[in-house]
Amino acid sequence: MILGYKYNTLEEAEASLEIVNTYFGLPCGEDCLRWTDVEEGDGFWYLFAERLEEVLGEPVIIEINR
Amino acid sequence: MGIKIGNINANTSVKLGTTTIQSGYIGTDLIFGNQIIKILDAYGSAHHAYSLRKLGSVYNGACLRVRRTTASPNLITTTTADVEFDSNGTISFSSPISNKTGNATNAINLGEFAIGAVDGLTAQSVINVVTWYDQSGNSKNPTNATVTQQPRLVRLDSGVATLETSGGKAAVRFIRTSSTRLRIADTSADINNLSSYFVGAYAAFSTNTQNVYSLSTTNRWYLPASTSGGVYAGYDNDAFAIFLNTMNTDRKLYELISPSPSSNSFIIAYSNGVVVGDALIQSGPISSIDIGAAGGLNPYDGFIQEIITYQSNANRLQKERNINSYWQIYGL
Repeated sequence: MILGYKYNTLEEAEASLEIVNTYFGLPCGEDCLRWTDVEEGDGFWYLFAERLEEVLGEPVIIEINR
Repeated sequence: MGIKIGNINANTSVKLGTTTIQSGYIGTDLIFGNQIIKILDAYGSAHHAYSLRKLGSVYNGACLRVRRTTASPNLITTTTADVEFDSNGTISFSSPISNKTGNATNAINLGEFAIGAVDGLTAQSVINVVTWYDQSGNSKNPTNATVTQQPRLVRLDSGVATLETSGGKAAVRFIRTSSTRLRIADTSADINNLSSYFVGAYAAFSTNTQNVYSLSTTNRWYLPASTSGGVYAGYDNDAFAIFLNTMNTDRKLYELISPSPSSNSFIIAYSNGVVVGDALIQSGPISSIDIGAAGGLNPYDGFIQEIITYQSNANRLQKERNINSYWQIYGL
């Protein structure tokens, strides 16, 4: 089971992801990495990944098993 | 080194005069000895070739690009590096690392990188695969920039960094729940003229559809793909075109050959050196090289050690023997 975060807009989700990328020290530029992808569903935007709670606090939703 | 005459073991080395013979061949088939001719030296011109062993003498690049993201109680940092082959031509904690980017590291090999003591880290680290380098010389390097989707090379066992292995040899571990996969777009081959050799093992029994290695989701080339009915080779419009075997966690050598050497009208599949089925040959370009999923879907849960694909059906048996000689999968 992977914990997830729900956002009303893509911009909000991307802003959170940028915070996560910075927290984990991910390189950007030629060797650019990102912690996870922003996913869309039911008109909302989501972040699902391991260790997000270290940065974003308690998740607001829970995804079922993949 | 043992050698038999009939069923009699010779318990001494084989010699010509006083010179010990280290290995013997019939044609290009290794019949005894520890040295196996590198497969791409004997049978070059692969379309793409990924392995945790060094496949040829011409390729002098790294095997993998990997990532270390440290965990608490350390300062959280990320470093990426290339992992090169060790002196045995495989991947181990002695494998040198190079081309380091991101947070600085003093590590000179994979073991130091994972353990982290040389960098003052007090917790050891998981090491994930960013890119699996193509040893064919064609630079078809599948990659994933999304770090939580990257497969794993080193895990933590009770906090101890441990190289992923299958059958006692290094492996890349793909994890279904994290949807791990590597990909590169590629349209430079057709499913009417390919032969693929796959070495790997499922990690656990599963009835979910899993696509392990895929070259297209429309003009399918899946080796293997699995569902509740078992493990299959997928081809053209059928994701489960040829039954390979029941679902199991044994390490396997799967082959998908197009066209069959015995008929241009069919493709043929093998499991551990045994013919398991065929299908009518079709045409159509591939769209990508996907390892661990197909088009990002139906991720795999298991280990991969080698995938080599040629645009030729030549020398199938010799390639099979070379692969099995190194990976020790069956019948030895």
